[in-house]
Amino acid sequence: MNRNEEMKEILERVQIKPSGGLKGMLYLFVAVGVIGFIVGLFSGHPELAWQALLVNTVFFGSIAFGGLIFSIIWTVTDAKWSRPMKRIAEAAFSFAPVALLLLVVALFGAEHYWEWVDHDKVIHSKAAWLDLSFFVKRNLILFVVVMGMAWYYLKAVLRPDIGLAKQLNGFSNPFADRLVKNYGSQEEEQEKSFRSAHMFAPWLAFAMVMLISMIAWDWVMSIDQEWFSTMFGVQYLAASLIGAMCFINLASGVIRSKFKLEEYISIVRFHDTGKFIFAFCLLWTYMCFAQVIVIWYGNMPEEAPYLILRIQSHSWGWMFWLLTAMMFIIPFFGLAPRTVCNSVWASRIFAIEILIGMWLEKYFLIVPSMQENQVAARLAAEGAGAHGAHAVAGPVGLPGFQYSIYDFALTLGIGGTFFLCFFWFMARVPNMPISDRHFFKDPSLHH
Amino acid sequence: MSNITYASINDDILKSLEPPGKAWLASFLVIITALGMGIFAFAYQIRHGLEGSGINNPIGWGVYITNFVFWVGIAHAGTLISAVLYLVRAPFRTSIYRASEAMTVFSVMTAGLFPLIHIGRVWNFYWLIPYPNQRLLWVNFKSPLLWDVFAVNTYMSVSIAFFLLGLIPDFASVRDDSKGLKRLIYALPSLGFRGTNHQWLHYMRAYLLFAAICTPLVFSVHSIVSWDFAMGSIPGWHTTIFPPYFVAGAIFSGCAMVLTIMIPMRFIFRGFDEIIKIKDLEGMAKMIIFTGIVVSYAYASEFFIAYYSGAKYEKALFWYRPFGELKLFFWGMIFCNVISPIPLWSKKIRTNIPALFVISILVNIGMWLERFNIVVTSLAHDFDPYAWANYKFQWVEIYITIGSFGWFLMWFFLFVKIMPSLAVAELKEALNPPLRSAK
Repeated sequence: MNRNEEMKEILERVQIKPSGGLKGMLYLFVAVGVIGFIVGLFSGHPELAWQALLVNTVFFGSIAFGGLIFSIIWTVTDAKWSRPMKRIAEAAFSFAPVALLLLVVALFGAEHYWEWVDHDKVIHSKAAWLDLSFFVKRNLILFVVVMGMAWYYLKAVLRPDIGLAKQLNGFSNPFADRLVKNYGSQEEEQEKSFRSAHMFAPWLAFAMVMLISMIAWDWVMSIDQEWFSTMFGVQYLAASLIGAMCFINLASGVIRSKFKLEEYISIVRFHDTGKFIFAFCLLWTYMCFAQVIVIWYGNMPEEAPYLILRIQSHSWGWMFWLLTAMMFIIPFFGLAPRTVCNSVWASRIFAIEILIGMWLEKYFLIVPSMQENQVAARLAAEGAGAHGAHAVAGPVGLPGFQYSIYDFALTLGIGGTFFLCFFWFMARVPNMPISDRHFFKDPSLHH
Repeated sequence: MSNITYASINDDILKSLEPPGKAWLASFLVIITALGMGIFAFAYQIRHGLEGSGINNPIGWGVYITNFVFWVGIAHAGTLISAVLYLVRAPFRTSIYRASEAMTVFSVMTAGLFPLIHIGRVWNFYWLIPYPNQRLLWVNFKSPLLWDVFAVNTYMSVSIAFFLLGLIPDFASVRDDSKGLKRLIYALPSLGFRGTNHQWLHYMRAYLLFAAICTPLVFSVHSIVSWDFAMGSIPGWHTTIFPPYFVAGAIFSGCAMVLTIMIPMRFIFRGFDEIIKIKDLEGMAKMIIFTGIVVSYAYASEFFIAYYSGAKYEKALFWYRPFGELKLFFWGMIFCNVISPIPLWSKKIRTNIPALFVISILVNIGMWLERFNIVVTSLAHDFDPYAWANYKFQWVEIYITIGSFGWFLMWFFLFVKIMPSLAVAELKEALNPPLRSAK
């Protein structure tokens, strides 16, 4: 069988689309999310709905951003093992525009997240940066620029695949057709795509890191306007890479058996996803440890309260240790043995466990600070004065972890949207990088 | 690849072990002179105290600590190349990893000298180590400086062990190639290696395990070095991004040092240019691009957070660095570390050996300047304007710095004559085994 016949066969065999039931369920999830959010807004506690929106957007968004970063890394390094998973990573990114839209929606709840929105409460020396109109402008510009760059890159990557698919079996849909306008000869296009993807990928990586850092700093870190950490952006980056790799692990595990791709996503290659999850969990732990120890040891008044609230308080301290277990201890001992990474089922359990941990991490970074702001605002309204309020609200007296119906509804809703985006994208492009010269069966199987 | 065979690799590499020629001896003389300058200056310092260095009050850490961090940083590339790139199966490591491991060992040995030089009363160096004593005096376990003692010692012992482990099959091939006393000397470290299937199996397993043990060390050592600064509450030091930023910077400088050393080696030893391919050097150049970007990101985020934090001391310091008395060091660092690697983005420059050599030297200078910036400017400009000061270089510390290069290069020059400086066995793995028809 020559290369083209093989690719034609792959193209026709691998068509990732949800069954009717699954699709209906995803739409139902989205409806539940929308209704839950609206009900939350008009309930007595709109802040619960707003916090659920931000936590879930930042969580699912991170998987999308991480997906694109993996695609970039694999393009730049010419990694061969990961080629069958490359389209999965790119499809995960199709949720990113929606995530950014949801962040824009979150702007309407600004006063629930950021106490600096109130001119009387903003820390004076930060008023220039923490100013809502400047905040909106810089973020929107960044979103548009990065999305434009990502679109350019994805177009370069997808074009030769779609072109080849057209040649092989007349692959066609409006989305794909628009991508392959002015298509030259196949060799020419492949060469062009290879070169422009390689040239452009590092710049896009740079832009993505900017985007991720800005989301971490502006949207999450500034909830506690007093606190700052230079590492915060990189920590969100590491978490995004974990999330994306867990997603790739789960998706490729399903795809390899459903579409009989055992020769492409061989167990050796699948093993590498487990190794990456392991490595990035360690990286994440390293980054958290580096922040915790520096802040704890420095014990400076503008930094330490953030940790005291999250490690020593009754309402939140337990979650720190839970996260340590979920993101470090369990993955470390769980994924270290080769047997676990070599088993689709076993590594899947760990991937799900780590994704839950990642979701809790987002919750842990966002919600305690929001609660602190709310308690401070309430006490200030009762006349305790802004300064007294922080002292009182410090380690005790916060509601703590209250998993609400809104968290549940929005996780379903935004998660459902994530999967709908994934399937939407997969339905419109060839599901494997068929024109890629690095895409082939695992040679180690034929020894 | 075509004209490299099992036999030619053996011959080329073993040829580098022949008795030294005139060029080697002349360079060695220069190196010994540099080392002599350092020893002389150190003797002067023992006689006269630290007045010969630029250290003053409040700048208690000067060139010596800068040199310490610089040399520890250089040490990182070796382990990165030999362990981390081994684990991720990067092909460009094979030809350069032996020499860079040697570089690691020698630069840790150099780095280890500087805390001793810096403490002044060097004869009391053992006070750094916790040991039971009559007066029940203990070292300060809460001090990052002590963590450093442990981190650097661990790193040194593990990297020496890893280095010697990797050399076992190559020592065996030198042993098989020699006679008499030389044969006996090389037989000892080769530990009776005969290349049997069983021995290879154990050897490979040990190598993999060591690689896995070394990988966290790449991160831990320089993280702990960074905490020497970040644990303090001095503006410009106390920031959470320091550990990964230092690790990236260390790899950045280490890869540059690998290029600085491997490029001349390719010229000096005939046959090496076929083994150390341009592609391998290009791999190093790519590592420099990547880590250079990480370092630039860290610079940018430090400035951003200094602005964002609204803390007036932080802001003042980050104004002082680019515009204060020591601004030349800052702008030199920005030029060398952020701007000079940019040409490497072009493949033409990346594969042009003189250009690579020049950029690698610029990066080395830049990383020294970066450490000087961190160590000195923060101390020179802390909270109280009354205590602000400037740093003036003195001849003793300059001589000692030159001496440290002499010390490092002396070991490296001895190494290339005593040990196989490229990995014979691993290079052969990439080739087709000789058949009967081959010569």
